[in-house]
Amino acid sequence: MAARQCSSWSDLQPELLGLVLRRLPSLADRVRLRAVCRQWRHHARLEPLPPPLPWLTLLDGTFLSVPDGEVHRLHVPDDAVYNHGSTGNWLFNSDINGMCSLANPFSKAVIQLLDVDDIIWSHQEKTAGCRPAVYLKWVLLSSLEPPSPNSHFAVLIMDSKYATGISICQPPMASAIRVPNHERMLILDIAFFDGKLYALSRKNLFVIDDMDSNYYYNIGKPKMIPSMRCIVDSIDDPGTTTHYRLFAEYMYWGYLAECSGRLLHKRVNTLGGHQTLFVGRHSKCLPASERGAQEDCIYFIRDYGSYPNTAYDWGNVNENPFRDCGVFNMKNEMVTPLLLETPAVRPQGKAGPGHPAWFFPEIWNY
Amino acid sequence: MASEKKVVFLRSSDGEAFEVSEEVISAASVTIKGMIDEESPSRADTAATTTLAIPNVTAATLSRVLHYVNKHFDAAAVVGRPDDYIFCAPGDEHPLARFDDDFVDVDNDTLIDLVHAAEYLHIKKLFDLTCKAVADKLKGRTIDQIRETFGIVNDYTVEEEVEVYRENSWAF
Repeated sequence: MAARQCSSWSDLQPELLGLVLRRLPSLADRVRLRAVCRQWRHHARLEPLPPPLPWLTLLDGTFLSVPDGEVHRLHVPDDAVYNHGSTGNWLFNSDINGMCSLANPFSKAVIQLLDVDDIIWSHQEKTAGCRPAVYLKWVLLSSLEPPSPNSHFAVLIMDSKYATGISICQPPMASAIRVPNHERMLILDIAFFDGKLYALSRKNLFVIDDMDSNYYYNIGKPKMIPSMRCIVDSIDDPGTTTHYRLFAEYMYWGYLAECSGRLLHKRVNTLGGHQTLFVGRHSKCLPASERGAQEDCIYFIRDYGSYPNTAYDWGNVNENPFRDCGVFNMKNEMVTPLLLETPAVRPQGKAGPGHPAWFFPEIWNY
Repeated sequence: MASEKKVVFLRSSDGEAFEVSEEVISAASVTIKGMIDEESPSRADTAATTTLAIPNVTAATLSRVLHYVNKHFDAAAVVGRPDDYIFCAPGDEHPLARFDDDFVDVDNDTLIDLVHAAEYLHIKKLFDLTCKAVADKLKGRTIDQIRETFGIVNDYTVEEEVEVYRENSWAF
């Protein structure tokens, strides 16, 4: 083999370029590196990479890269004033009239979903003059396919009195099936995992039965009514877990998160190493190694102040939406700031209140 | 005892030979360990020291690599357990973390030679360190800054350039 010294950077072997890309946790850095020259653009395409660090969606349709604080402006429809989380590259938004849609900020595609009124309450509740929904979490009921106008969705709804409900819908049907919640359980989170929909309350984990895409409509009525079945009870003994402090001091809500092939539904002492947990309306575990995210750490965003009866707090939220966002280290129980520096750009709320939410871009190999 | 330790000589692409402890270099470099293992039956009964040709690495780079290897893999030289090192983030109070920071604080050409040498010699820790150093040089840079830093020529046609920008205009 000939001596290979004074190598030119543009000749960087594809494997080496991939290994460097792997060590760049920011999607923007990867995209820019790839764009430098033909050679790199070609090689970078060939390399499967671990997912980049997530972004925080801000209130004005911009995205904040963590932890470097770089602000990205992507296309978000003008009428999207509320964000209800995301699935893959798609953001669940709603407009001022309550019309929900999915928007992909990279491709600029939009999928119309349903009017909030059509998802929310049962017919009786609706005619009885129900309270408005103040919190929605949309979940795509498929882990294999990207969302389409015919996809099935589950929606967790909460009203201004903390009453919660889960609806299952397929937008073209323009009506939703409510999952009966006979005990009026407060549902904190829902998640689609391994082909099933799960719901979390303070004490219990439920699986939703009878909803496998088979709820065909028969003269406007579903053939099957989904039901909630408790599979774990007495979930929480907060005293025994290290990150009790995190939840005692910073977070109010409970979350479901997929982590290393299982669904986390309770507080744990460790993520099993090499994992980082991002907690919020859309929670997710990502591998920590080589990526700039710290292992066994929980990246959290404050979850109070955007829920019912906390209007007094909204002003502060808009003033500093990153207050009480941080990184909780499960090993030493230390909390460090989420961002290296406070971003220079402040989000400008378009209409309503809200708070940053995790967004997990997946745009590498398109 | 120390004087009885086996040594090997590594000859760089430009002909310079470097002496290194066989034990140390075997622990560090998968490639050289393989070479030594291949050689060993034939030299078991001779006292001659082995000289291994390293055709892909120049003397300047090889001497740097051996400096790193002796620091990291020579048990007598390492302060604390060598494995502790991997749990230290840059800036941690660890003697080798400081050494590593200084080690990769070099110009870009030297750095890429180290990346290639670490890859060829299969020294995982050094390879991780140098790849990370390259990545750190790229963080938060614009495309033009990256080109300037690494002396890369923009070889796109106008049409291609438009396409590249259109694809991900948000990142530029």
